[in-house]
Amino acid sequence: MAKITLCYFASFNAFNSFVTLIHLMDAYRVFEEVIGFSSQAHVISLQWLTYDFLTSDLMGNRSIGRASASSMLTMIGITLLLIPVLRGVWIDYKDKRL
Amino acid sequence: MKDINLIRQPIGLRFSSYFFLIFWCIVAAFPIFWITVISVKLPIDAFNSNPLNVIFGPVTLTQGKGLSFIDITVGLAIILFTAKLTTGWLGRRVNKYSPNGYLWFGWIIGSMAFGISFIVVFFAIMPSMLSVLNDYAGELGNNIIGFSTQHYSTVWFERDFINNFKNSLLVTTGVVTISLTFGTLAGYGLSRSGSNLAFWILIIALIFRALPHSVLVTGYLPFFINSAEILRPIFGDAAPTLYGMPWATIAVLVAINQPFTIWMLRSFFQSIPSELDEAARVDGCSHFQAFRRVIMPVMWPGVITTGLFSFLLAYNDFLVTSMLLEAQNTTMVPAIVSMFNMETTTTDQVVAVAAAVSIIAPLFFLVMFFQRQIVTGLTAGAVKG
Repeated sequence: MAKITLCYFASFNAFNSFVTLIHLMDAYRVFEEVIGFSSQAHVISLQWLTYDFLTSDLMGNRSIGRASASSMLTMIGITLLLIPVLRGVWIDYKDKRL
Repeated sequence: MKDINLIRQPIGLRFSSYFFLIFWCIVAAFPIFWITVISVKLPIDAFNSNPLNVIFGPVTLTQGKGLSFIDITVGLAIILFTAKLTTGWLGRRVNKYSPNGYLWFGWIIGSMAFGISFIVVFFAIMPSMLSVLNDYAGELGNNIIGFSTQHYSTVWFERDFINNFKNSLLVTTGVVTISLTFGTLAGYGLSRSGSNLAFWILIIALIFRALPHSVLVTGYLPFFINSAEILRPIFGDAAPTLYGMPWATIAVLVAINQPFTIWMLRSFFQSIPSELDEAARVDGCSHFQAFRRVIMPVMWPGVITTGLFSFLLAYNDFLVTSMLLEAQNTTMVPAIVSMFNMETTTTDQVVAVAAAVSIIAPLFFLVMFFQRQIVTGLTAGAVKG
Protein backbone atom coordinates (compact mmCIF):
# COMPACT_ATOMS: atom_id res chain seq x y z
CA MET A 1 0.00 0.00 0.00
CA ALA A 2 2.79 2.38 0.94
CA LYS A 3 4.45 1.56 -2.36
CA ILE A 4 1.32 2.40 -4.31
CA THR A 5 1.05 5.73 -2.51
CA LEU A 6 4.68 6.43 -3.26
CA CYS A 7 4.21 5.60 -6.94
CA TYR A 8 1.17 7.80 -7.01
CA PHE A 9 3.01 10.80 -5.66
CA ALA A 10 6.04 10.11 -7.82
CA SER A 11 3.89 10.23 -10.92
CA PHE A 12 2.30 13.47 -9.81
CA ASN A 13 3.18 15.19 -13.07
CA ALA A 14 1.30 17.83 -14.99
CA PHE A 15 -1.31 15.50 -16.41
CA ASN A 16 -2.17 13.73 -13.18
CA SER A 17 -2.17 16.96 -11.26
CA PHE A 18 -4.56 18.44 -13.80
CA VAL A 19 -7.07 15.64 -13.30
CA THR A 20 -6.63 15.82 -9.52
CA LEU A 21 -7.13 19.54 -9.72
CA ILE A 22 -10.37 19.22 -11.68
CA HIS A 23 -11.79 16.73 -9.21
CA LEU A 24 -10.70 18.78 -6.20
CA MET A 25 -12.27 21.91 -7.60
CA ASP A 26 -15.51 20.20 -8.51
CA ALA A 27 -15.77 18.81 -5.00
CA TYR A 28 -14.89 22.16 -3.41
CA ARG A 29 -17.39 24.19 -5.36
CA VAL A 30 -20.33 21.78 -5.07
CA PHE A 31 -23.44 23.78 -5.80
CA GLU A 32 -26.09 22.17 -7.96
CA GLU A 33 -26.54 19.33 -5.50
CA VAL A 34 -27.48 21.80 -2.78
CA ILE A 35 -30.06 23.40 -5.09
CA GLY A 36 -31.40 20.13 -6.50
CA PHE A 37 -32.04 18.47 -3.17
CA SER A 38 -32.89 21.71 -1.31
CA SER A 39 -30.41 20.72 1.36
CA GLN A 40 -29.66 24.28 2.49
CA ALA A 41 -31.15 23.64 5.94
CA HIS A 42 -28.48 21.02 6.66
CA VAL A 43 -25.50 21.56 4.38
CA ILE A 44 -24.41 24.59 2.41
CA SER A 45 -21.29 25.25 0.36
CA LEU A 46 -19.39 28.48 -0.19
CA GLN A 47 -20.79 28.77 -3.71
CA TRP A 48 -24.31 28.41 -2.40
CA LEU A 49 -23.60 31.11 0.18
CA THR A 50 -22.54 33.50 -2.58
CA TYR A 51 -25.58 32.57 -4.64
CA ASP A 52 -27.85 33.19 -1.68
CA PHE A 53 -26.35 36.66 -1.06
CA LEU A 54 -26.74 37.52 -4.74
CA THR A 55 -30.40 36.55 -5.09
CA SER A 56 -32.68 39.49 -4.39
CA ASP A 57 -34.64 39.33 -1.13
CA LEU A 58 -38.29 40.29 -0.62
CA MET A 59 -37.44 44.00 -0.85
CA GLY A 60 -35.56 43.43 -4.12
CA ASN A 61 -32.15 44.15 -2.62
CA ARG A 62 -29.08 42.09 -3.36
CA SER A 63 -26.28 42.10 -0.79
CA ILE A 64 -23.51 42.38 -3.33
CA GLY A 65 -20.94 43.44 -0.72
CA ARG A 66 -21.46 40.30 1.34
CA ALA A 67 -21.41 38.19 -1.82
CA SER A 68 -18.07 39.73 -2.77
CA ALA A 69 -16.71 38.91 0.68
CA SER A 70 -17.78 35.28 0.45
CA SER A 71 -16.40 34.95 -3.07
CA MET A 72 -13.09 36.37 -1.84
CA LEU A 73 -13.04 33.67 0.87
CA THR A 74 -13.80 31.03 -1.78
CA MET A 75 -10.94 32.33 -3.91
CA ILE A 76 -8.51 32.17 -0.97
CA GLY A 77 -9.52 28.56 -0.39
CA ILE A 78 -9.01 27.75 -4.05
CA THR A 79 -5.55 29.33 -4.03
CA LEU A 80 -4.54 27.25 -1.00
CA LEU A 81 -5.76 24.09 -2.74
CA LEU A 82 -3.95 25.07 -5.92
CA ILE A 83 -0.46 25.65 -4.50
CA PRO A 84 0.80 22.00 -4.55
CA VAL A 85 -0.71 21.43 -7.99
CA LEU A 86 0.82 24.57 -9.46
CA ARG A 87 4.16 23.57 -7.94
CA GLY A 88 3.87 20.25 -9.77
CA VAL A 89 3.14 21.98 -13.07
CA TRP A 90 6.08 24.33 -12.57
CA ILE A 91 8.54 21.52 -11.78
CA ASP A 92 7.35 19.56 -14.79
CA TYR A 93 7.77 22.59 -17.02
CA LYS A 94 11.30 23.25 -15.72
CA ASP A 95 12.28 19.61 -16.32
CA LYS A 96 11.05 19.79 -19.89
CA ARG A 97 13.02 22.96 -20.59
CA LEU A 98 16.33 21.53 -19.34
CA MET B 1 -6.06 -23.07 -30.92
CA LYS B 2 -3.96 -23.49 -27.82
CA ASP B 3 -2.89 -19.84 -27.88
CA ILE B 4 -6.46 -18.62 -28.01
CA ASN B 5 -7.29 -20.71 -24.95
CA LEU B 6 -4.30 -19.25 -23.16
CA ILE B 7 -5.26 -15.61 -23.64
CA ARG B 8 -8.96 -16.16 -23.15
CA GLN B 9 -10.29 -14.92 -19.82
CA PRO B 10 -11.29 -17.59 -17.31
CA ILE B 11 -15.03 -18.24 -17.06
CA GLY B 12 -15.27 -16.81 -13.58
CA LEU B 13 -13.61 -13.52 -14.51
CA ARG B 14 -15.69 -13.14 -17.65
CA PHE B 15 -18.89 -13.89 -15.79
CA SER B 16 -18.16 -11.45 -12.97
CA SER B 17 -17.08 -8.65 -15.31
CA TYR B 18 -20.25 -9.02 -17.42
CA PHE B 19 -22.31 -9.16 -14.26
CA PHE B 20 -20.69 -5.99 -12.93
CA LEU B 21 -21.14 -4.19 -16.28
CA ILE B 22 -24.83 -5.05 -16.50
CA PHE B 23 -25.36 -4.16 -12.86
CA TRP B 24 -23.65 -0.82 -13.35
CA CYS B 25 -25.68 -0.07 -16.50
CA ILE B 26 -28.91 -0.75 -14.60
CA VAL B 27 -27.87 1.43 -11.68
CA ALA B 28 -26.81 4.27 -13.99
CA ALA B 29 -29.79 4.11 -16.34
CA PHE B 30 -32.54 3.43 -13.83
CA PRO B 31 -33.28 7.03 -12.76
CA ILE B 32 -33.60 8.14 -16.39
CA PHE B 33 -35.81 5.15 -17.21
CA TRP B 34 -37.98 5.90 -14.20
CA ILE B 35 -38.56 9.59 -14.91
CA THR B 36 -39.36 8.70 -18.53
CA VAL B 37 -41.97 6.21 -17.32
CA ILE B 38 -43.43 8.68 -14.82
CA SER B 39 -43.67 11.49 -17.36
CA VAL B 40 -46.12 9.60 -19.60
CA LYS B 41 -48.54 8.60 -16.81
CA LEU B 42 -51.36 10.42 -15.09
CA PRO B 43 -50.37 11.62 -11.57
CA ILE B 44 -52.37 8.87 -9.82
CA ASP B 45 -50.32 6.23 -11.62
CA ALA B 46 -47.06 8.16 -11.51
CA PHE B 47 -46.99 8.36 -7.71
CA ASN B 48 -48.59 4.99 -7.04
CA SER B 49 -47.02 2.98 -4.23
CA ASN B 50 -46.98 -0.18 -6.34
CA PRO B 51 -44.11 -0.01 -8.88
CA LEU B 52 -45.95 -2.27 -11.36
CA ASN B 53 -48.85 0.19 -11.42
CA VAL B 54 -46.37 2.96 -12.22
CA ILE B 55 -44.99 1.01 -15.17
CA PHE B 56 -48.28 -0.21 -16.64
CA GLY B 57 -50.49 2.69 -15.57
CA PRO B 58 -54.00 1.17 -15.14
CA VAL B 59 -55.69 4.53 -14.47
CA THR B 60 -54.09 6.03 -17.57
CA LEU B 61 -55.33 3.01 -19.53
CA THR B 62 -58.93 3.39 -18.37
CA GLN B 63 -58.91 6.89 -19.83
CA GLY B 64 -58.19 5.36 -23.21
CA LYS B 65 -54.61 6.60 -23.39
CA GLY B 66 -52.18 3.82 -24.03
CA LEU B 67 -49.83 1.96 -26.33
CA SER B 68 -50.62 -1.33 -28.00
CA PHE B 69 -48.15 -4.10 -28.77
CA ILE B 70 -47.94 -2.86 -32.38
CA ASP B 71 -47.24 0.73 -31.28
CA ILE B 72 -44.33 -0.37 -29.10
CA THR B 73 -42.81 -2.64 -31.77
CA VAL B 74 -43.06 -0.07 -34.56
CA GLY B 75 -41.80 2.74 -32.33
CA LEU B 76 -38.77 0.76 -31.15
CA ALA B 77 -38.04 -0.36 -34.72
CA ILE B 78 -38.08 3.23 -35.97
CA ILE B 79 -35.81 4.37 -33.13
CA LEU B 80 -33.32 1.55 -33.76
CA PHE B 81 -33.40 2.19 -37.51
CA THR B 82 -32.73 5.90 -36.93
CA ALA B 83 -29.82 5.08 -34.64
CA LYS B 84 -28.36 2.79 -37.28
CA LEU B 85 -28.77 5.44 -40.00
CA THR B 86 -27.11 8.16 -37.94
CA THR B 87 -24.08 6.05 -37.12
CA GLY B 88 -23.29 4.95 -40.67
CA TRP B 89 -25.43 6.04 -43.58
CA LEU B 90 -25.71 9.74 -42.68
CA GLY B 91 -21.94 10.17 -42.38
CA ARG B 92 -21.34 8.57 -45.79
CA ARG B 93 -24.03 10.76 -47.45
CA VAL B 94 -22.55 13.90 -45.91
CA ASN B 95 -19.04 12.94 -47.00
CA LYS B 96 -20.27 12.26 -50.53
CA TYR B 97 -22.40 15.33 -51.16
CA SER B 98 -20.72 18.17 -49.25
CA PRO B 99 -18.49 20.33 -51.45
CA ASN B 100 -14.76 20.15 -50.88
CA GLY B 101 -13.64 21.88 -47.70
CA TYR B 102 -17.17 22.52 -46.44
CA LEU B 103 -17.64 19.24 -44.61
CA TRP B 104 -18.70 20.99 -41.40
CA PHE B 105 -21.42 22.85 -43.31
CA GLY B 106 -22.60 19.57 -44.83
CA TRP B 107 -22.79 18.10 -41.31
CA ILE B 108 -24.89 21.02 -40.05
CA ILE B 109 -27.33 20.81 -42.97
CA GLY B 110 -27.40 17.01 -42.93
CA SER B 111 -28.02 16.66 -39.20
CA MET B 112 -30.68 19.38 -39.18
CA ALA B 113 -32.54 17.79 -42.11
CA PHE B 114 -32.22 14.41 -40.46
CA GLY B 115 -33.48 15.65 -37.09
CA ILE B 116 -36.46 17.44 -38.64
CA SER B 117 -37.44 14.44 -40.76
CA PHE B 118 -37.19 12.17 -37.70
CA ILE B 119 -39.46 14.51 -35.72
CA VAL B 120 -41.98 14.63 -38.60
CA VAL B 121 -41.99 10.85 -39.05
CA PHE B 122 -42.02 9.99 -35.36
CA PHE B 123 -44.50 12.53 -34.06
CA ALA B 124 -46.77 13.21 -37.05
CA ILE B 125 -46.83 10.36 -39.59
CA MET B 126 -46.32 7.39 -37.27
CA PRO B 127 -49.17 8.07 -34.76
CA SER B 128 -51.81 8.56 -37.47
CA MET B 129 -50.67 5.45 -39.37
CA LEU B 130 -50.65 3.41 -36.18
CA SER B 131 -54.15 4.43 -35.13
CA VAL B 132 -55.47 3.05 -38.43
CA LEU B 133 -53.35 -0.08 -38.05
CA ASN B 134 -54.54 -0.69 -34.46
CA ASP B 135 -58.19 -0.75 -35.56
CA TYR B 136 -57.55 -3.65 -37.92
CA ALA B 137 -55.15 -5.60 -35.70
CA GLY B 138 -57.71 -6.98 -33.23
CA GLU B 139 -56.13 -8.38 -30.07
CA LEU B 140 -52.65 -7.01 -30.81
CA GLY B 141 -54.11 -3.54 -31.29
CA ASN B 142 -55.45 -3.26 -27.74
CA ASN B 143 -53.68 -0.91 -25.38
CA ILE B 144 -51.47 -2.69 -22.86
CA ILE B 145 -49.39 0.11 -21.33
CA GLY B 146 -50.70 3.45 -20.17
CA PHE B 147 -49.20 6.29 -22.19
CA SER B 148 -50.23 9.92 -22.33
CA THR B 149 -48.37 12.82 -23.88
CA GLN B 150 -50.54 15.46 -22.23
CA HIS B 151 -47.84 16.54 -19.76
CA TYR B 152 -45.43 17.17 -22.61
CA SER B 153 -47.91 19.36 -24.47
CA THR B 154 -48.65 21.18 -21.19
CA VAL B 155 -45.02 21.91 -20.51
CA TRP B 156 -44.04 22.87 -24.07
CA PHE B 157 -47.03 24.97 -25.07
CA GLU B 158 -48.96 26.11 -21.98
CA ARG B 159 -45.94 26.70 -19.73
CA ASP B 160 -44.01 28.31 -22.58
CA PHE B 161 -41.08 25.93 -22.27
CA ILE B 162 -40.49 26.51 -25.97
CA ASN B 163 -39.29 30.00 -25.08
CA ASN B 164 -36.78 28.53 -22.60
CA PHE B 165 -35.70 26.13 -25.31
CA LYS B 166 -35.06 29.00 -27.74
CA ASN B 167 -33.00 30.80 -25.10
CA SER B 168 -30.96 27.65 -24.46
CA LEU B 169 -30.41 27.27 -28.18
CA LEU B 170 -29.21 30.86 -28.51
CA VAL B 171 -26.88 30.63 -25.51
CA THR B 172 -25.36 27.26 -26.42
CA THR B 173 -24.83 28.19 -30.09
CA GLY B 174 -23.14 31.42 -29.07
CA VAL B 175 -20.93 29.78 -26.45
CA VAL B 176 -19.81 26.93 -28.71
CA THR B 177 -19.09 29.20 -31.70
CA ILE B 178 -17.15 31.82 -29.78
CA SER B 179 -15.21 29.46 -27.54
CA LEU B 180 -14.18 27.23 -30.44
CA THR B 181 -13.15 30.15 -32.66
CA PHE B 182 -10.90 31.70 -30.05
CA GLY B 183 -9.98 28.40 -28.42
CA THR B 184 -8.52 26.87 -31.60
CA LEU B 185 -6.50 29.99 -32.36
CA ALA B 186 -5.23 30.32 -28.80
CA GLY B 187 -4.58 26.61 -28.39
CA TYR B 188 -2.62 26.47 -31.64
CA GLY B 189 -0.55 29.49 -30.72
CA LEU B 190 0.20 28.28 -27.21
CA SER B 191 1.06 24.74 -28.31
CA ARG B 192 3.60 25.95 -30.88
CA SER B 193 5.21 28.55 -28.65
CA GLY B 194 7.95 27.57 -26.21
CA SER B 195 8.21 30.93 -24.49
CA ASN B 196 7.82 31.60 -20.77
CA LEU B 197 4.93 33.94 -21.48
CA ALA B 198 2.90 31.11 -23.00
CA PHE B 199 3.53 29.02 -19.89
CA TRP B 200 2.35 31.79 -17.57
CA ILE B 201 -0.75 32.39 -19.68
CA LEU B 202 -1.55 28.70 -19.33
CA ILE B 203 -1.04 28.83 -15.56
CA ILE B 204 -3.36 31.83 -15.31
CA ALA B 205 -5.91 29.94 -17.42
CA LEU B 206 -5.61 27.03 -14.98
CA ILE B 207 -6.34 29.31 -12.04
CA PHE B 208 -9.35 30.77 -13.82
CA ARG B 209 -10.59 27.28 -14.61
CA ALA B 210 -10.42 26.51 -10.91
CA LEU B 211 -12.40 29.55 -9.78
CA PRO B 212 -15.97 28.75 -8.76
CA HIS B 213 -18.56 30.19 -11.12
CA SER B 214 -20.19 32.20 -8.37
CA VAL B 215 -17.05 34.34 -8.09
CA LEU B 216 -17.34 35.37 -11.74
CA VAL B 217 -21.07 35.97 -11.42
CA THR B 218 -20.48 38.24 -8.40
CA GLY B 219 -18.15 40.25 -10.58
CA TYR B 220 -20.50 40.47 -13.54
CA LEU B 221 -23.86 40.99 -11.82
CA PRO B 222 -23.50 44.64 -10.67
CA PHE B 223 -22.17 45.56 -14.11
CA PHE B 224 -25.03 43.78 -15.87
CA ILE B 225 -27.67 45.53 -13.74
CA ASN B 226 -26.17 49.00 -14.17
CA SER B 227 -24.84 48.53 -17.69
CA ALA B 228 -27.21 51.10 -19.25
CA GLU B 229 -25.76 53.76 -16.97
CA ILE B 230 -22.15 52.64 -17.33
CA LEU B 231 -22.24 52.31 -21.12
CA ARG B 232 -24.10 55.58 -21.74
CA PRO B 233 -20.95 57.64 -22.43
CA ILE B 234 -20.07 55.19 -25.23
CA PHE B 235 -23.38 54.18 -26.79
CA GLY B 236 -25.55 57.16 -25.83
CA ASP B 237 -29.22 56.41 -25.20
CA ALA B 238 -29.01 53.08 -27.05
CA ALA B 239 -26.95 51.58 -24.22
CA PRO B 240 -28.61 48.27 -23.28
CA THR B 241 -29.35 46.86 -19.86
CA LEU B 242 -27.53 43.55 -20.10
CA TYR B 243 -29.37 42.03 -17.15
CA GLY B 244 -32.07 39.70 -18.46
CA MET B 245 -30.65 39.43 -21.99
CA PRO B 246 -29.99 35.79 -22.97
CA TRP B 247 -27.26 36.73 -25.46
CA ALA B 248 -25.38 38.70 -22.81
CA THR B 249 -24.88 35.57 -20.68
CA ILE B 250 -22.86 34.14 -23.56
CA ALA B 251 -20.00 36.45 -22.51
CA VAL B 252 -19.98 35.13 -18.95
CA LEU B 253 -20.24 31.48 -19.99
CA VAL B 254 -17.41 31.90 -22.49
CA ALA B 255 -15.30 33.53 -19.77
CA ILE B 256 -15.92 30.50 -17.54
CA ASN B 257 -15.35 27.96 -20.29
CA GLN B 258 -12.46 29.43 -22.25
CA PRO B 259 -9.58 28.36 -19.96
CA PHE B 260 -10.66 24.74 -20.16
CA THR B 261 -11.18 24.94 -23.94
CA ILE B 262 -7.71 26.39 -24.42
CA TRP B 263 -6.06 23.71 -22.28
CA MET B 264 -7.86 20.92 -24.02
CA LEU B 265 -7.30 22.17 -27.57
CA ARG B 266 -3.67 22.88 -26.77
CA SER B 267 -3.13 19.26 -25.81
CA PHE B 268 -4.78 18.17 -29.06
CA PHE B 269 -2.59 20.52 -31.12
CA GLN B 270 0.49 19.21 -29.33
CA SER B 271 -0.30 15.72 -30.57
CA ILE B 272 -0.07 17.02 -34.16
CA PRO B 273 3.61 17.07 -35.21
CA SER B 274 4.94 20.55 -35.95
CA GLU B 275 6.64 19.16 -39.08
CA LEU B 276 3.18 19.32 -40.63
CA ASP B 277 2.95 23.11 -40.44
CA GLU B 278 6.61 23.43 -41.45
CA ALA B 279 5.85 21.41 -44.59
CA ALA B 280 2.86 23.61 -45.34
CA ARG B 281 4.99 26.72 -44.87
CA VAL B 282 7.64 25.35 -47.23
CA ASP B 283 4.94 24.70 -49.82
CA GLY B 284 4.01 28.38 -49.74
CA CYS B 285 1.17 28.69 -47.25
CA SER B 286 1.01 31.74 -45.01
CA HIS B 287 0.82 31.11 -41.25
CA PHE B 288 -2.96 31.41 -41.24
CA GLN B 289 -3.38 29.28 -44.36
CA ALA B 290 -1.25 26.54 -42.80
CA PHE B 291 -3.49 26.66 -39.74
CA ARG B 292 -6.74 26.59 -41.71
CA ARG B 293 -5.93 24.24 -44.57
CA VAL B 294 -3.44 21.82 -43.04
CA ILE B 295 -3.86 21.73 -39.28
CA MET B 296 -7.62 22.16 -38.88
CA PRO B 297 -8.62 19.21 -41.11
CA VAL B 298 -6.70 16.79 -38.86
CA MET B 299 -8.06 18.50 -35.74
CA TRP B 300 -11.74 17.62 -36.19
CA PRO B 301 -11.93 14.97 -33.43
CA GLY B 302 -10.41 17.45 -31.00
CA VAL B 303 -12.66 20.30 -32.09
CA ILE B 304 -15.78 18.15 -31.83
CA THR B 305 -14.85 16.82 -28.39
CA THR B 306 -14.05 20.30 -27.09
CA GLY B 307 -17.20 21.69 -28.70
CA LEU B 308 -19.21 19.02 -26.94
CA PHE B 309 -17.76 20.00 -23.57
CA SER B 310 -18.53 23.69 -24.24
CA PHE B 311 -22.02 22.73 -25.31
CA LEU B 312 -22.57 20.73 -22.12
CA LEU B 313 -21.31 23.58 -19.94
CA ALA B 314 -23.68 26.09 -21.53
CA TYR B 315 -26.55 23.63 -21.70
CA ASN B 316 -26.32 22.39 -18.11
CA ASP B 317 -25.51 25.72 -16.54
CA PHE B 318 -27.76 26.79 -13.69
CA LEU B 319 -25.88 29.37 -11.67
CA VAL B 320 -25.03 31.92 -14.37
CA THR B 321 -28.31 31.84 -16.26
CA SER B 322 -30.48 31.89 -13.16
CA MET B 323 -28.57 34.86 -11.74
CA LEU B 324 -28.29 36.97 -14.85
CA LEU B 325 -31.69 36.31 -16.46
CA GLU B 326 -35.17 37.14 -15.24
CA ALA B 327 -37.21 34.21 -13.94
CA GLN B 328 -39.74 34.47 -16.79
CA ASN B 329 -37.17 34.42 -19.54
CA THR B 330 -34.44 31.98 -18.60
CA THR B 331 -32.86 28.89 -20.18
CA MET B 332 -34.12 25.35 -19.65
CA VAL B 333 -32.32 24.21 -16.48
CA PRO B 334 -33.33 27.14 -14.23
CA ALA B 335 -36.87 26.85 -15.59
CA ILE B 336 -37.05 23.19 -14.55
CA VAL B 337 -35.61 23.94 -11.12
CA SER B 338 -38.22 26.64 -10.53
CA MET B 339 -40.95 24.22 -11.68
CA PHE B 340 -39.81 21.70 -9.07
CA ASN B 341 -39.47 24.28 -6.30
CA MET B 342 -42.98 25.73 -6.68
CA GLU B 343 -45.68 24.77 -4.17
CA THR B 344 -47.34 22.33 -6.48
CA THR B 345 -50.00 19.74 -7.07
CA THR B 346 -49.01 16.27 -8.25
CA THR B 347 -49.95 17.22 -11.82
CA ASP B 348 -47.45 20.08 -11.72
CA GLN B 349 -44.79 17.70 -10.47
CA VAL B 350 -45.36 15.29 -13.36
CA VAL B 351 -45.23 18.26 -15.74
CA ALA B 352 -41.86 19.21 -14.25
CA VAL B 353 -40.69 15.62 -14.72
CA ALA B 354 -41.79 15.80 -18.37
CA ALA B 355 -39.69 18.96 -18.76
CA ALA B 356 -36.73 17.18 -17.20
CA VAL B 357 -37.11 14.30 -19.65
CA SER B 358 -37.42 16.55 -22.68
CA ILE B 359 -34.15 18.28 -21.79
CA ILE B 360 -32.38 14.93 -22.25
CA ALA B 361 -33.54 14.36 -25.85
CA PRO B 362 -31.17 16.82 -27.61
CA LEU B 363 -28.23 15.24 -25.78
CA PHE B 364 -29.17 11.82 -27.15
CA PHE B 365 -29.27 13.19 -30.70
CA LEU B 366 -25.93 14.91 -30.27
CA VAL B 367 -24.15 11.88 -28.91
CA MET B 368 -25.64 9.67 -31.62
CA PHE B 369 -24.44 12.00 -34.39
CA PHE B 370 -20.94 12.46 -33.08
CA GLN B 371 -20.25 9.22 -31.22
CA ARG B 372 -17.43 8.06 -33.47
CA GLN B 373 -15.62 11.39 -33.41
CA ILE B 374 -16.15 11.66 -29.66
CA VAL B 375 -14.53 8.30 -29.00
CA THR B 376 -11.50 9.11 -31.16
CA GLY B 377 -11.30 12.54 -29.57
CA LEU B 378 -11.48 11.23 -26.03
CA THR B 379 -8.68 8.77 -26.55
CA ALA B 380 -6.49 11.17 -28.55
CA GLY B 381 -6.32 14.18 -26.23
CA ALA B 382 -4.77 14.22 -22.83
CA VAL B 383 -6.98 16.60 -20.88
CA LYS B 384 -10.41 15.48 -19.75
CA GLY B 385 -13.09 17.27 -17.79
